[in-house]
Amino acid sequence: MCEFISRRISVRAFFTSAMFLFLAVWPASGQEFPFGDHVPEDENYALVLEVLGGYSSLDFGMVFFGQGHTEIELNSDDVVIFAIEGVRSLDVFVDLLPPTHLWLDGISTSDDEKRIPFTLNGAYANQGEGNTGPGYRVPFSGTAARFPILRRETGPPGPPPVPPHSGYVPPRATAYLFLYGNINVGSELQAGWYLGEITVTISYDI
Amino acid sequence: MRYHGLSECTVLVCKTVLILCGVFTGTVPVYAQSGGNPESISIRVSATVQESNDVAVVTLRDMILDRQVTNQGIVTIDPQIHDQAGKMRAEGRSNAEVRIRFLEELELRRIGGSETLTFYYVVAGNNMDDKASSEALDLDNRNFVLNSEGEFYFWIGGRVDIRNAVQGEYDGEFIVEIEYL
Repeated sequence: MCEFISRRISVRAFFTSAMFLFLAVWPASGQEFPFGDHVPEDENYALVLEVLGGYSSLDFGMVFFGQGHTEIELNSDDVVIFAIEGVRSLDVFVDLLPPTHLWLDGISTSDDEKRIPFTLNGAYANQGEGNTGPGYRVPFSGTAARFPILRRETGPPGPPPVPPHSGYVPPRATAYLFLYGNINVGSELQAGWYLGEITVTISYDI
Repeated sequence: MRYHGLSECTVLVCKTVLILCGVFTGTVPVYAQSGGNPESISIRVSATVQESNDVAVVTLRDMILDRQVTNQGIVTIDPQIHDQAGKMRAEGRSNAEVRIRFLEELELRRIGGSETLTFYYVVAGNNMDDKASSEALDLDNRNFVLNSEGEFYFWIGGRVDIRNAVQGEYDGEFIVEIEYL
């Protein structure tokens, strides 16, 4: 029993020391407000993710043996567009989990006659409701991105957003996510339908 | 001489398929929501791999014979002008050269009877989805290039004399043959 209490005290002491050390070396060149820490479990702060246009598939359509590099470009009509609705002052994290390949009938295999290499690309637009045209689309590299739901004005930072309190409804906005990519169609493939699944996860920057 | 991808489409079957597709896409919302918690949606990514010599023809819209295109008992649909024209799309190899043939004359048979009407097809084609800039297809103009998506569009019209026709419903099918060169 005594030993158990002694260990708890020891751990707390170390944690406090680490906090001081962290604060001491933090650069003074900028400020970050961890507003996400205050995001309550409240529908006014809900994050809503929705596929627009009813197309819930990134579809390369009909391809042929040996066709090689086949791309759905960022500004193609075949791009899948998501709407992300949330509190406009907060940043959102987007995390994409793509398959490495499309597999014949969706059955995962290492057989190159039954799989097509797949590369996923993403872009976002955060300049307000309905602004989804090519000029608004910002590609990002890799499979993760962080951006404000509504792009902040350039210039000196404005005041921090109003902290949550009873009866307060934070202003909301809609950002957009675009998924596109390419496949490499080899000449040794079997004919058929090739599938994979992409998972998109969004969260506030907490 | 070999012809690949002979496609025959009847009006009734294509209409049924279109209606079912509309219902399907309208009832599958993809949507997620929560109070500040992470949200996920999964979507499918897909491709259909075909042998290079395959070519498919898809009916996008059926031809409509109505009073607006009937004059003194003659039904005339100009495929480059009238909205009543049927529409089909060939899907094949990207940028492939093809030769296109179709039956210019067809006997429509009355459903439930033996009477026939002769329908004379007029067809226009384009490798863009643009009827206004399509070209008329005939024996002198039948070699085309599929677009970069491997597509080619057809608009189907024609002429039929119904002055002596027995009242009823007539059925027939438009047949198009596409050969890679």
